Amino acid sequence: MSDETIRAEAKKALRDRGLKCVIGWSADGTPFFAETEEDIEKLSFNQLCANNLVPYLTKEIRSQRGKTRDGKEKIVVPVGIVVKGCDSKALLLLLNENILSRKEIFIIGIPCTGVADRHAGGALYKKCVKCAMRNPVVFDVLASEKVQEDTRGYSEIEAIEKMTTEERWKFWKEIFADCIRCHACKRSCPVCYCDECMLDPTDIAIRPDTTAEEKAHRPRWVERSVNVPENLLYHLARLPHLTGRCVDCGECERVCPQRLPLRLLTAKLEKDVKEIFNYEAASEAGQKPLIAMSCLEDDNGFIM
Amino acid sequence: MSGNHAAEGADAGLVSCEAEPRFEPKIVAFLCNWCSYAGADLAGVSRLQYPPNIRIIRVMCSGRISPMLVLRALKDGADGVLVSGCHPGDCHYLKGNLYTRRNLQLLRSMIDYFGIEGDRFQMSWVSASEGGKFADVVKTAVEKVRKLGPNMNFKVTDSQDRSE
Repeated sequence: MSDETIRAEAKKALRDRGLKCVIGWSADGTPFFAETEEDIEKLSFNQLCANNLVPYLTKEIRSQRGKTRDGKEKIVVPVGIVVKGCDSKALLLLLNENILSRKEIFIIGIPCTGVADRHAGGALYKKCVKCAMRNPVVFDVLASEKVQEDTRGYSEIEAIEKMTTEERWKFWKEIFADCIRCHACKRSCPVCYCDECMLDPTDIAIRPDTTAEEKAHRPRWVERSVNVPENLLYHLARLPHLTGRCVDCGECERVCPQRLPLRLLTAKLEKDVKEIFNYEAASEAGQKPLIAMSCLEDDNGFIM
Repeated sequence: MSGNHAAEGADAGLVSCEAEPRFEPKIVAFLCNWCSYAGADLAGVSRLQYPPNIRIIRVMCSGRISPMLVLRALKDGADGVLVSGCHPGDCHYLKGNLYTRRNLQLLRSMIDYFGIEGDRFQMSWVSASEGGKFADVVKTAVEKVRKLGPNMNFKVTDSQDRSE
């Protein structure tokens, strides 16, 4: 059983590797930080464990980083994490981007057959019905046997692409009219890890020496007002940041309080990246980021 | 001509069409300092005519153009955006235009996906010696955007505003 394996491996790692904590889920599906061996007994995995825990890990590791008073790098106490297949892809991306270091984390991978939406009567999430990343791609131990994966299809995207420009605009306008810009999609995204976000006008890294003038004159790319153009700009501007980085874990869509189909955006990006550049985010360890590579032979077709 | 009623009607329609002022698009052009801006300069020095619809912003390299600049220009009322840089391989900073090509190709595809006409965002390579090409590029860009009409996707209407 995977629950026992998770607990046994977590306990062993907590003891042997001196982990600070193991980030996992409790039996009711909420994120849970297990810091002691008693806590670890509460770790579990079932269909309700939908959260991607990677953002918690990034936050935890980064809070430990920094310099001591005498200018030395602080020692990071390693942290354990339990990941599903899609979560592990996000983790691999962060490792590739050197945001996390492999020796700072202990990964318990779970081959997953899909998680359920508690708000939809326990039906599987749309992303889980057909999933091409059920098995973790990076892990120290696996909690159970690997499972069969599906292939990724883009039929929904192709349906939208077939619409005329006006139809598409009408389709998206209705969606963006519902967005309340709570920034939950951005906050929960495992690959959005900047301290200061250009898309959130209230999100500014304030140091003790930040002057009032600096705060006032910061470039404001997206205004705070919530209306279709601003929402459109917000979602449109978020995408270039996810180019070749979005691993399609579906957290943005899952956390959206307005139930906007946000994966339609990222999946299109993913599809384009695959079709135009033959690139897939976090498909191997040590991969270079797509937009940090340049190629003279890229397609010139869209240029006048 | 035949002089029948249908032809007269068409003529009358044409007259009333001309009475309305033609839509003059506003296009923001980001030109790289080393090639396209010099190309625009050459077009000016050579007295080549091109439409006055573009507002030029000089940047040091087309690699400076983040998708955000393009989007913000559209949001702030530009009907179109033109980004122009050195030909691939000729970049003053070696690879700036190659990076920007990757980024902006995807941006163009995404804009189109959202139902905003892809032609509102255009890109070209113009070298410092191509004054004639620059004039042509501007002509084509302006014509394409004129055909699309004013940029309405980023306009706020009262019913959309939820801030109150």
